[in-house]
Order: sequence, then C-alpha cells, then structure tokens
Amino acid sequence: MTRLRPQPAERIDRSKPISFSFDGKQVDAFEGDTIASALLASGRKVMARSFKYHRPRGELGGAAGSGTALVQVGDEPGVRAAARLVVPGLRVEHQNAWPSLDFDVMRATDKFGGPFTPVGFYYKTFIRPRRMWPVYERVLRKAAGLGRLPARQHERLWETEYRRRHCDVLVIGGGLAGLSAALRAARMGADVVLCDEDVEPGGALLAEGRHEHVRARADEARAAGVEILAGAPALGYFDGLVPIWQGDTLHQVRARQFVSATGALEQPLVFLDNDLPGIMLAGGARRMAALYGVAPGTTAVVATVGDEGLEAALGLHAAGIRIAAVADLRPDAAARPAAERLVAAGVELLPATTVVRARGNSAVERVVLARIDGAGRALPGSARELHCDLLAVSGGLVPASSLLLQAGARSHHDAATGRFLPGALPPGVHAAGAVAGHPAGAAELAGTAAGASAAVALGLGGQKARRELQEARALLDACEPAAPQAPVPACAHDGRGGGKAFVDLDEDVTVKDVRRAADEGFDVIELAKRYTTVTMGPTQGRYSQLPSVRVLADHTGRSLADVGLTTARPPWSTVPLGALAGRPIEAAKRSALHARHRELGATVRWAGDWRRAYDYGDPEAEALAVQETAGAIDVSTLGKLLLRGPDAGELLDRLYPNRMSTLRPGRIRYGVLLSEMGRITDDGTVCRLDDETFYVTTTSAGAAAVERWFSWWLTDWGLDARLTDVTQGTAAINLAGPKARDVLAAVTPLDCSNAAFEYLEAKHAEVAGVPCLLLRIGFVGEVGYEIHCAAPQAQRVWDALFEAGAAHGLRPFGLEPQRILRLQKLHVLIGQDTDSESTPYGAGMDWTVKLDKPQDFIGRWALEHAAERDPAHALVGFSVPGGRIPHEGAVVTVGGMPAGQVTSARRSPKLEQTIGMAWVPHELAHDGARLTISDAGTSFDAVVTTKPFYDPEGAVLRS
Amino acid sequence: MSTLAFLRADHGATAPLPRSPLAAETAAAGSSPAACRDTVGWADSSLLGKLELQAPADELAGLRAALGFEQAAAGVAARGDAGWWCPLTPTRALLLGAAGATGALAALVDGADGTAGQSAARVLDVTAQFAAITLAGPLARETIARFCALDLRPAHAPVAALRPGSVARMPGIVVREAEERYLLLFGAAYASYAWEVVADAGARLGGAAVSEDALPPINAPKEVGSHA
Repeated sequence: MTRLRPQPAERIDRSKPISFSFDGKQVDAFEGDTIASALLASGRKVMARSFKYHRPRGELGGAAGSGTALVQVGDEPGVRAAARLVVPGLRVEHQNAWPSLDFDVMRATDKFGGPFTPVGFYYKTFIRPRRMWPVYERVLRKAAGLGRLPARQHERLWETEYRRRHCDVLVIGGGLAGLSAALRAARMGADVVLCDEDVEPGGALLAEGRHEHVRARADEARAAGVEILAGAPALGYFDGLVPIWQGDTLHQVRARQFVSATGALEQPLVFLDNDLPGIMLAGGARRMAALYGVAPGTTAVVATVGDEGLEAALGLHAAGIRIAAVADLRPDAAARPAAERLVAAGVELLPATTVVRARGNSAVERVVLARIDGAGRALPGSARELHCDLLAVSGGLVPASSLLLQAGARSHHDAATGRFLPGALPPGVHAAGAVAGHPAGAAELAGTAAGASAAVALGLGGQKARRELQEARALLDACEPAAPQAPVPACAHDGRGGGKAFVDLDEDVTVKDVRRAADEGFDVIELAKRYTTVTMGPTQGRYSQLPSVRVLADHTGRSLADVGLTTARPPWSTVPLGALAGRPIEAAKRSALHARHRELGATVRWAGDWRRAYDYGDPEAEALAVQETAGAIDVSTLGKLLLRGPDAGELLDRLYPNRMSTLRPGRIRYGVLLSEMGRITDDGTVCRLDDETFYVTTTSAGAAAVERWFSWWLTDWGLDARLTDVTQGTAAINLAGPKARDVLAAVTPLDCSNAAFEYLEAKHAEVAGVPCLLLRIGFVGEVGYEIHCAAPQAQRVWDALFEAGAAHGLRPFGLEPQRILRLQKLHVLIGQDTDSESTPYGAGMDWTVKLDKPQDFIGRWALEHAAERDPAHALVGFSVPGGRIPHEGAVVTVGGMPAGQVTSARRSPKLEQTIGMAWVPHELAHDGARLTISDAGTSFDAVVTTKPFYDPEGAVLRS
Repeated sequence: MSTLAFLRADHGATAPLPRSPLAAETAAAGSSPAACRDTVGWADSSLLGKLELQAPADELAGLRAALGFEQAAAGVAARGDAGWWCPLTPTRALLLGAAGATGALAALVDGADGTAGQSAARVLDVTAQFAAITLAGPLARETIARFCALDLRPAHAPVAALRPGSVARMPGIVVREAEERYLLLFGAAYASYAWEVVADAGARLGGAAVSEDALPPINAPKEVGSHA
C-alpha cells in the first residue's frame, strides 16, 4: 500500500512526518493521520481479530463510528483505529490474538469450533455440568476479550473532565445540514453548540469534492459564535440532556432545542466471507483516499445498490486507484448519470449484478460477482471471478436516527426509498439532512430550515424570519426524494458450501445465527437481538441493524416494516465506563477540628456524609480514659437548629411527645421525635436559651431531615417562629469523665461546681476567651459538658482543653469508644437500635411521652392506642457469659425460631464482659431472662438486663 | 454575653481571630493577580460577614429599603454600600458584608429597623455557617461549569444574578458579583471538599489559588467574558 499523490481535501500534513509503533514495530505516518490510515498506508490490512472466531479484520468504514479495527493504545483497550489520531511515540498494539496478530491460534475456533459455538452456545454447550461454569467462564473471558485493562485498580485511573454546558440549540452532526442549521440559528441570535464525531466537521462532503464549501461553512459557523466540538460523539438523549464525549472531557449539554443532523450510514452487503480485510464500505475507502491520501487497494471492485457506490467508484478512480469493475444491483444502473461518467472513464459497469463471495486468506484477493435470484442465489452461468485487493461495497443508506428515536420519535419503513425513517418529532427536536430522509442535494436547505425552526421556537427572529422559514420548508417539500436503491438481498451467495456470511462484524453474528435464532423461537427482532447479541457490539448496530432485520424478514417471510427496528438506547457511541464514573472526589463534610484529628492519628471513617474520627488507635483504652480521667470527643456533627419567636415553644410541644415550652431558660430536656404513626424518627436535646429562643440538637444523620420536618410543620401551622440550621457552622466538643470538671474549670471563668452548674443546665461562658454555650449532659455516662462554639473558634477551644487537660490525663476519644460507653448506659442510638417500627414504649423510653399534656403532638393518636397494650417486642440490654460478641443483626431465637435481633454489641473494658442491646419478645424483657442468640452458624446464651450496666441510678452523671 | 454570642465567628478584639475552614488549604495561595487576569483565580472568602434576616415579607422589604438596597427580584441580588442583599425567599434574606463587619452590619440592621423594638425580624450572624470561595477571571464561568450544572451564561445570569442550587453535589448559592467574578456559598463543613473540587477544575484550565486581595474589585469596569 502506498500513499496517493496529494489529494485536494486531505487533512494530513505531508511536511510533518511522525512515527509510532504497532506491535513494537515502527510505523511512519503524517500529522493528521489516524491509526487506521497510517496502518493502511504502511501496507497493513489486518488490524484486529474478531470477537468470537478470531478472524482477521481490517478497517471497514474508515470513519470514527467504525468498529472493526479495535486496537489497544497504551493501557486503553478497544480504541477505534479510524477515530484516534496518531501522535509521535504512540504505542499501539493488536488485541484479542495470540501469539501474534498474523498467527492467532484461537483462529481454530473459526476452523473447527463451529459445532461447539452455535448461537447461544453459552446456554447450550457450557450449561452442564453446572458446577463447571466458573471454569468455562474464565476460559471464555480469556478467549473472547477485547483488549486488556491494567491489572491493578490504581492503574486504571481515568482523568475525565466534566463540563456542563447550557445552550439554546444543540446541533448533533457536523455535515452540511448540521453546519447550516447551526449557522442559521446562531445568526438569528441563538447560543449554539455543534458536535460531530469526526475530527473535523464537514461530514461526507469532505471526501466528496465539496470540502472547500463545508470547511468554509464551518468557519462561518465559528465566526457566528457556534461552539464546535469535533471528535465528539453524542452518547445519547436523556430527557433533554445530551452527554458528549470529547477525548478527556464529557460535556453534559442541556439545550432548549435540538437539531439532529446525524446523516445516514452506508451499509455493508452480506455475502460469503464478507468480513475479509480489504473489504470496505465504498464511502470509507473514498474517505481514506480523499482525506488521508491512502490507497486502500491498488485494484478495486465496487459493489453497490445505489448511486453512493457509483460516486465512490468515481472518487477512487479520480484518486488514482484502478477500478476493475463496478457491480450495481439495479438493472437500470447504466442510466444513472454517475454510471455514465464511470463508463466514459473506461470503467466496466455490471448492472443487475452483485458480489456473492469473497476469496482470500488473510485479505481479499478475488471476488465472485453474479446476477442473483430473489433469494440471493447466483444465477447459473452468471458468476464471474475478478482479482482485486479492495472490494468497496455500498448496501444502501440507513438514516442515523438513534438519537431521534431516543428523544421519542418513532421510526417507520418508507417503501418509496426503502429506508427506515423517523416519524413525527417530539417538541423541541428537529431533524435535517439524510437522517430525516432529505436528499443529499437539499442538505443545506434542510439544515437552514431546521436551524431557523429551532430559533423561531426560541422566540428569535421576527416576521421576516418566519416567512423565510415557511419558504424554506416549501422548497424542501418540493425537492426530489432521495435516489432509489435496489432491493437488497438478505444474503447473496453462490450456492456452494464454505464461508461465513456475517450480519454483525462486531459480535461475529452470521446469517446462519439469526436464522437459527428464529427457528428456535426468537423470531422477534428484540428477542433475536438478545439471543444472538446482534447489534450489541461497539458500533451499536450502525452496520448490523438493517442486515439482521433483512435476514429475519427473509427467513420468516415478513416485510421489513413488520420486523421493524430494535429499541434505540444509549450509548449511541461507545464510551469507557471510566469516563462516566465521575471525578474521584467525594462530597464530604468535615468538622472544624478535622485537621486536629488527623494530627492525632485518628482512624477517619464515613459516618453518614461526615468524615469522623472513629478512634485514635486504641478504642478500649480511650473508653477507659473517659471513665478514669477525662476524654474529649468532637461532636460537631450533631444537628443543631436555632428556633426563635413567640411560638417557638408551642412548635416544640407539637413536635415532641413531652413538654418543651415549660423549660426554663438555661435548662435542657431530652426528647424523641415521632412520625405520625408514633414511631421514633430522631432524638436529641432541647435547650431554652431565653424566652423565645430554643437550641435543638438532633442526631448527626438526622439533621437535614429534622430541619425539613420542623420547617414543614412551621409553615403548615403558621406559627410565629423562625428556624435556622446552624449545624455546619457550630462546633461541639463533649468533655467527659471524672476529671472533666477540673479541665473545664482551668479554661473558663465559670463556676463549674456541681452546685453552680447542675446536670441538664446550660450556661454561656467564655472558654479560652471564646464565647461558648455549655450544656451539662452525658451521653457517655460520666460527668460531661458539651461545649458549643462557632466553628472558626473550635481549634482554639480544643487546643486549650488539651493544654489544660494534659495534667489530668485528658485524651481524645472517637466514635467507637463512645459507642462502648453509651452501651454501658443503655443509651439508645436512634437508627442503630431502633427502626421504622420502633415506638418509645417498645424502646423502653416511656418516660419521654407525656400523654397528659394538653397539646396535641405528632404521633399522639398512635401512641394513645399503643399505650393500651404491651408492645410485642422490647429493646433490652444483654450480657454474654463467655465473652462472645455477636454481630449486629444477629438473630434472637425462641424455640429455634427467629424472635428478635441484636442491634448493638461491644466488649466493655470497664465491665470486662460483652454487653449489647437487642429487640426481644416482650415476655423476655425482664432482668435475668435467658436469650439464645444465633450468629454466624452457632448459638449461645445471653442474659437480659433492663437497667444500665453502669451507674444505673445516674449518680455519676449528676455528681 | 448575649444569648447567641456562641454562634458568632468574630467578636472583634474581645476574642481570638476566627479561623477560616479553608485556612490550611489557602496557606500557599499567591497574591499575584495574573491568574484572575489571564485564566481563573480562586480565593477563600469564608470569613465574609454574613447575616441571615428573617421577617414577614413586607417587613423584610422595608428593612431592605431602609438599608439602601434597591428592590431585588427573585434570583437577583442587590448591591449596596453594606454589601450584597440576597433574597432567598420573601421572608428570608442573606446580607453579605465585609469580613469582620457582622457587628457593624447587625448594628446597621438594628438602626434600619424602625419599629422600635416591635419588629418580628430575626437577625442571625451566620458567618460561620457558610464557607465561600470566589472565582474570578475569564475562565471563572468555565471552571464552575466543570462541577455545577447551573446555567450561568451571561444572558441567563447577568451580573448580580443569585442562583441557589446544587454546586458540586452540595447545596450552594452562586452570586455573580461582576462580569468575571462569582461567589460560591456553601455549608462550612463542605469547605475542604469544595476547595478540592474548585482547585481540581481550575488547575486544569491553567488557574491558581490566590489570596483575596488578588481578586479584582467587584465594581471593576465591564469587560466581555470569554465564550465558554
């Protein structure tokens, strides 16, 4: 293979030679070459091996959407050779072949594996014995892989950029129709984005002699403000959002109007051994010649069913490639103007003829042309064999309507043109050019009309614009329809044995496979698709949808219209999963003390949407320190709401089952929040700061939900109160332990004595010079103070506490020791020990419910009914003789049957035993009852307790 | 000490200086205005003074007028001598002022409240609740587009546009302060995460972290922003 003489439209720069490697060997190329064009120019036709049969494959379409030549580029598998530009030093390798691309031992699958690999062979050949499936699976995966990912996860990093782009009009497709649409809409004042999967806009006309016109149009569009995304396929249409993948960027485009100008896809012909390298779509071969100056063959045969193949033959001939013959299936082909030009150029034209077989070892060497009967069989005596090293085929055009169909359009088969066309379009969606069935000569007019239509729909342009739009539509309606094409056989053949005829080169699906699927009952296109995987490969059915429909229609005796198309689904173009996975940055909340925890060596884990200190290396020692000296834990994650106004107390009385309006300023009360069904949803403390101001804390996980709950009812009841969520800006430190009072007293002028600062009291005081709110409460069961301050001052307070606490043995403790400590007190952790069915009565929290208070409150009705009988289950404490620690969720059994579950369990270093909480049948909810816990395949006993394990009377807390 | 003093970040000379939630991240921020001029610069604005005002709609409107802010429609902030008036709902607004100025702002609000103590308006210093990052430069909008789906095109978000919404998957507010200057407000606990997101996006576009004094002034002359 050689380079052609410089071509007028070529996009390579011959003054800039570059080189890259393919399978370790240097390949010379020019700047602007794709991998496929450079390999073809170097003489390499075999670029890949097929998915199932490991047959040699070359470049079929010569365009970005083509998927037969997939290669490995560095660590990136499945790269389309026709879509990736070469750069100096690029390392390209073949994939799916061993030991080499030219000699692949797995080719034996093709030669000898036929009986073992029929369609659906996964479900047939490898179904028995069932236990062997894991072995089969490994072998099959290794044999059928398409490239390889790096072995280690950290080497698979994708650095995809995400970009949100709003625009007025998104035009998908950069051919003449798309460019015209974009230009018109932009000139009418719209903000327009245009995307095209090729490396430059222009579409098919770039290679068809009108490159100057479309390139000028692209320049005009840019000048008009159109943002052109090249090398950027649209992946799908998601209710108005169109993701567009461009190299390392995923554009998420939201437009008010969409114009699809995605053109039409030239289809391959189906005949025996139609997958040999050297067989290309006619348009693809022409692109290679025109845009890259590459001769994909020295002697070509062209087989076509319409004018497109004739035009391609003319183009190849003009580029300097010898055309041995042109077979046009249309009986009247000679009357076509392009045919006349071909004949005038000395090219032999064979009307009513097509290709029935290709021959060659690793690439096409000869082709058999023949006249065929209605079933695609060669007529006796009509076969003629020609030598060639390029077979350019053109099996008609299929509108690339997938995105329109995803947007809600329905396709129908147009008998006049023999094409599936999109029908009525949904609002805000427009189509222009070949995708809409417009003839090639009307692309510019169709695009201009679509662009104007989109702009008018946006309210742009005046009466004149509307009038021009009407005129353009009228002209469009008056255009000649697209040129007719010959009815295409499902499969043309010479009636002899041997060879495979493929309908899907991506998935190695043959005509025989589709027929067999229909015979086995999968005779609906959607079922046949799933059974055979036809259209499910990298090209997403671009080149296999119509051939498979033709085969199914032919085999089942139905029309193409009756068989129809499969449902169009994203992605329209393949995209690495890594590109869709998002940036590897987690949306995390961190307290103002986070840096201190890191410095102290904390194990940081997720707790809801917070990153929290789980422990500082030794949770049991941290728990002991809290009970023997003092500990401090960052509880800034607690939800914190400020409620102000004359009706603030009234609101709280209606939301909590106990009385909050009776709190005196400076006092604190615990409360649970209930659903209307009387189930516990959250808990926390309420502190009255002054007559009209309450400070409410919630669980860390429940903060947002409680804020919404309060806001909802505040609005609904129309009470005079204002709510502000101060969670994120307010830090809180829980200082607890026998020495806590001493530590606190060292950093505040406040009288911290028990007489001056009682349990469940709140005080305003400076700590280390920082104004703070101090709450004397004790979730961990020791004398404790929650110190609340503005987050920007939290480090100052924390540092001061530890400076003062050094002499008292103060140490930080994390979530895990906190859980041990609260379990000793049987303090319930909402969401951990309760679920959506838990009432205060079942949870042993009767004391939080005041049914005698005058106000109605959320959940009252349900609790009144619940109070009439004992709950079926109760939350109790338990200890486990022997020290075994059950898993949370372990089953409590009675008589061998499940009767409850463990919600929490830990080893208490203070008590030197395993303690926990569990829901048990009510009859077992008494001190000393024996439980059986079934956990991880074994059962063991536990003993029930209903009182806290530590300080059951609360004397320590109040001391 | 007032009841709500513990919520205030800044107490002037009577307490230690407040520490921004982004203090560690911004330690290396440069003071050169080059990034803001050529690409994009981003700065920590977390210590901007922020007051939340809640009152019945008519009273809130009166307060706004008394403070000298023009009437602002939904989605539009008003610029005045005191800073930005950001209406979030008819009964709730944010008042953004200079760093360390919340005391003065609160006094201003008290002074403007002409109802002689009968006002139902509630004023709260929420400086600590919100962290803030300012992005400035020709690629500021493009940078935000890397992590935020809000439509900030000039025609849809002119100067003074106020856009509450999802910013980098967290609840946030965007204020377009000038042609090429955007203020992002979000919960203070998200500050480190937000900074990482902004830096990740901005660095890819050639931008850099800058100190607040490297930001262009809000009343800079209008320039045409680059197309994004």
